[in-house]
Amino acid sequence: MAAVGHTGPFAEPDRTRFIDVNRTRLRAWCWGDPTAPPVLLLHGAHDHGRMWDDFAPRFAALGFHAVAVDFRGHGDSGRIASGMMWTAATLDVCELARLLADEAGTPGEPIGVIGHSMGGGQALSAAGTAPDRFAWLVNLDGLGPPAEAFPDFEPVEGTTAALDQIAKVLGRPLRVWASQDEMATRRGSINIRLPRRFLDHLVEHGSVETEGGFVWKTDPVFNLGVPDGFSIDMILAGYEDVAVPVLALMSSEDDAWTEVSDDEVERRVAALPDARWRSVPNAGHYVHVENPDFVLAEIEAFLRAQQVLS
Amino acid sequence: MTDTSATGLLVIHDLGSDGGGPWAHAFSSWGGAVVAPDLPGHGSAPPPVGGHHEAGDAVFALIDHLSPPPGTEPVVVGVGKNGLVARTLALGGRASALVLVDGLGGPWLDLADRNAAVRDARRAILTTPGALEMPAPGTPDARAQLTPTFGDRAHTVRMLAAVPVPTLVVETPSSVVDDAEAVASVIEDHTIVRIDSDDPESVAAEVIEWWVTTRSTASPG
Repeated sequence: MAAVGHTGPFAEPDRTRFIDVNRTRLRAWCWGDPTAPPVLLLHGAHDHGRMWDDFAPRFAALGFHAVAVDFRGHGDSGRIASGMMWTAATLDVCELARLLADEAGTPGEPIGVIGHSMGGGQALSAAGTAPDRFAWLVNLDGLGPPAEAFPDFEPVEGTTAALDQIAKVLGRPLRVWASQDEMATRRGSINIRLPRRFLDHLVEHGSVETEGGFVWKTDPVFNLGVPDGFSIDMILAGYEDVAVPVLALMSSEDDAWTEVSDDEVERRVAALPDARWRSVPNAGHYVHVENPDFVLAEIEAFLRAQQVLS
Repeated sequence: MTDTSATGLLVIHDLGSDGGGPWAHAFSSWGGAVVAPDLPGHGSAPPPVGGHHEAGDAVFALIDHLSPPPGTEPVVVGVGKNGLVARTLALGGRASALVLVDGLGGPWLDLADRNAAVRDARRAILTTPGALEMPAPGTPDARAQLTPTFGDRAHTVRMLAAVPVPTLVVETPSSVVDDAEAVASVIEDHTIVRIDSDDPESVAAEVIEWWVTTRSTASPG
């Protein structure tokens, strides 16, 4: 396990390491006492474990060993065969929970998990897959995309477009950006509420220098897949398997991926057997970045109610 | 050599099978080029990137076949779970004809049971010996067997109804559906045959006979 040098606007993780799990190698970033109860931190799509740099040390100070990983296909972790990596990543999370419990000297004991966006969905998927490996779950604006993300699919046109895109992406070199500043500006056009210094931070750790500039670390095939009839109803069917207590903290401001109405949030939370949710004031999709004090206070209250914290 | 007018043939073997070799051999009398690759983790091919087998990933492994020049699209044969991939290539304009060998999908499940099938497949990977570690070179991959098939009948019917090319549905005793005729009937130009064996030689004989007939019907003289 290696110490991390100081860069960027946030305190560095206390330690970093690679973990071989489920046929791949994942980069892990760690904060807090390694003998404390482990908690997994799971980032969203196109992000990486360093997106927790501001949140993780504050959370770890509650008395946890916070471990953020780069999902496969993201950051410094192993590559993926296609964007259809959901199940593979879910199994990674399940195995990480088992390994971290072992390393904490509590083999077979369940651990906590906090996930943002796709990471929140992955946390729910893993908890439904291996309910004995998770004790509690916090979901940060990750109850699935808005229904508009699943438009009526025209079989021929939609499939042709998907195959054209796969052939195009696999047949061309990675896009090289002239500067990290340009990448941050691009990212800011999507995540419109993120502060510039956080955009710069995401780019610093989410890109790598190459000839002529920089490329994103996220595997270019991550966005690619073939139509398979996936739907919100399938997500909600999976929620019924999530037996652990869940706290969902949802965005309150318009942002990318926030077009889920309160009624729809209610419907999705209701599909979880033991869940409650709160709207995070003054926050878009990155609730823990925009209003970390509120998010941390809600998590602490949730964990006290669950008697995880005394 | 069978007169198939030099149309190419692409065979996409099933997940968890012996790979493309038996299919290439079975179709040796096909007149055009036959491509029956070992998909990642099958036959002599190295494991898939990341070691995970997912329905649909074969599309990525077949990248060299995703952009055939117009007029050179092959007949695409999808076996078992990779019927999904063959159907995808046909819908996406990459096939001159489609053959589904026990490849319609199924078993058909409602939403709750489809979720349960996916969940149970994941649990099986967590508990099956060897499924979490890379297999030793040259050994079968236990994990390749654990990919759930596509069980959404309504979605499958909707996709099949849009297939724009002649389609042969071959059903064998290994099929997991009992309503193949009804499902296949939504394909505008389809033929369905039932045979007693799923061995590649038996399947290839049916496919070649059908293709010769189809070609002669489509291009008289």
